[in-house]
Amino acid sequence: MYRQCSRFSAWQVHKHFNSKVLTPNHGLIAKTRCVSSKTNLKTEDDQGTAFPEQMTHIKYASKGLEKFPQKYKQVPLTLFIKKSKTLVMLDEISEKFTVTFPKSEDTLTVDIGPEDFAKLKNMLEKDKRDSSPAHNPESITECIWQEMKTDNNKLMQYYFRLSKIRLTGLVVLTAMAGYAMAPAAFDPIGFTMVTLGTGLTSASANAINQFFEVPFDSQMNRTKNRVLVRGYLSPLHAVTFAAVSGSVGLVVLALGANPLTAALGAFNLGLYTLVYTPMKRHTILNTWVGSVVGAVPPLMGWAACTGSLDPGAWIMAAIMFCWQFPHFNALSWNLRPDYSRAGYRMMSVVDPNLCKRVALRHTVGITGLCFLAPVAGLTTPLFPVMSLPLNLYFTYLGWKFYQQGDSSSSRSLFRFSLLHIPLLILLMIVNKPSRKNDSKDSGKESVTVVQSELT
Amino acid sequence: SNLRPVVFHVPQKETALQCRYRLMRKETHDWNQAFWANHNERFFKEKEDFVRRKLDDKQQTVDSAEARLSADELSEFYKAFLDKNYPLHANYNREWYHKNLRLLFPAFQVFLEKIYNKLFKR
Repeated sequence: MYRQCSRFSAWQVHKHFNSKVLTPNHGLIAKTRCVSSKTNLKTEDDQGTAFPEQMTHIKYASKGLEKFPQKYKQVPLTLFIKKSKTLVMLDEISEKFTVTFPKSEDTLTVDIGPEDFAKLKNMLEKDKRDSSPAHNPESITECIWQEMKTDNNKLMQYYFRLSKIRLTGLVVLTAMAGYAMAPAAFDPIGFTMVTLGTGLTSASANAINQFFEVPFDSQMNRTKNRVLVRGYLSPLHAVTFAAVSGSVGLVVLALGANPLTAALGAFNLGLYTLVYTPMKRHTILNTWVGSVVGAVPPLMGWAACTGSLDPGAWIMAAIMFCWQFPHFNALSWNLRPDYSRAGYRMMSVVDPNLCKRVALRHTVGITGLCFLAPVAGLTTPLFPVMSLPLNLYFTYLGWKFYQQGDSSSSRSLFRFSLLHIPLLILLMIVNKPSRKNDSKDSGKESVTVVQSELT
Repeated sequence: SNLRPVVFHVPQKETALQCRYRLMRKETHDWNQAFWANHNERFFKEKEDFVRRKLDDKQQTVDSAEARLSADELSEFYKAFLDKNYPLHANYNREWYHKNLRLLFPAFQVFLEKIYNKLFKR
């Protein structure tokens, strides 16, 4: 099975005496946006003298079918030399320009006529305005036919991408934090089990989510390189992966931790895949449901440690719940065109003022909840004091986002939210109340009980 | 549309199950392509119209370098477009989930058949 992009035309390079001449090759695609060129035979001696002021800065990008290097985000025009499979990026074009290859002696002249050049410029301007993935290729692999085959060497890599490994990692981190904050003994086996179980369950949830959202992901620039969109794995493969990792994860939680943890894990899995994912396309309330999904992992960690959910666990979950709002609202702010076109109903599109209000409201909420933490016995009274600067800065960024509501304030809020939660968790762990007295007392109690039984 | 066009390979000795599965996939794929191509075209056309109208109101020409609508003004358009297309998307959603899930079982059948053929037919 082969795939193709409906945009670029490829130029075939012929070796003609000592110089290379470009002729357009219309063969590849039906809807070509092709620019014709006058054949311009130039020997290498002429290159230096003819157009010195129009020598463009050519970066020799990559050989073959690799991705463009990260720093070259905005690519106006590329040249794919089919036979040698070379990719050259041009950051400036004009009517006549030359291309030099650092690794060889050859040079190439491209001569586009003035009218075609004007047409090309128009095309590029229009593409910059349209933000759809078809107009913003990031790699040559998006523009040429490729076989849809599962590369078995890259299987692990595909599984990581399918399970959104970075997101899963953060979820596991919050579960570990829940375990760490719980007022019971630290059991290394239980800890490993809950980490593993949560990771597998989260991977399963993310895989199912990607399976459901293939056509929508292909519409948005952010998600167009997902594994199922690109066809690196078949849908059946992805669903099997999700089924296996989900069931193994839940079993690990049930046996390695306790049934309560497994029940929470199953609840979260169902909530994310069967409630949140479809809801994203129907109502803005999906953000609230998604925040609950984010708040459950600390509860799972806590339940794995103590076997029950104390007030401290609920405070921790509430902080996580509140954190999701500034995090997600800031992220979605810059994606409004993509969400609108793909049909997702998010606050940032449907009710931007609500979006900003909610984000600010919940940053204040986090600050307030941190003061409740010692009351619930989660942390020592020092914690609200230590976390105050962090929370105040977060609230300040939320306030700026509320006031300005532009892409820079949303980006800074989002970036800080990624920093804020690990630091907050660290402060929580550092300020965990010590339970040495409790264990001593219980030790004494058990000794007296034994004595009374013996006598 | 932004979906990648797929050409389905027909093997020499295609079994009935494989044929049925391939046709189902092709049908789903074509339906998807048609929907999104249509939808995206309408989106860009309506966006151009909106930008043109707004710029006329502000008495600027379309192609001048400063003629850029702010994100807030554009967000009106995004909201209007999203709300207008909501019933369409709700329908598409239901259909897509139905088609997607219906493809799973034939895929599984084809997979089993491939294993069976490899093990017993050689």
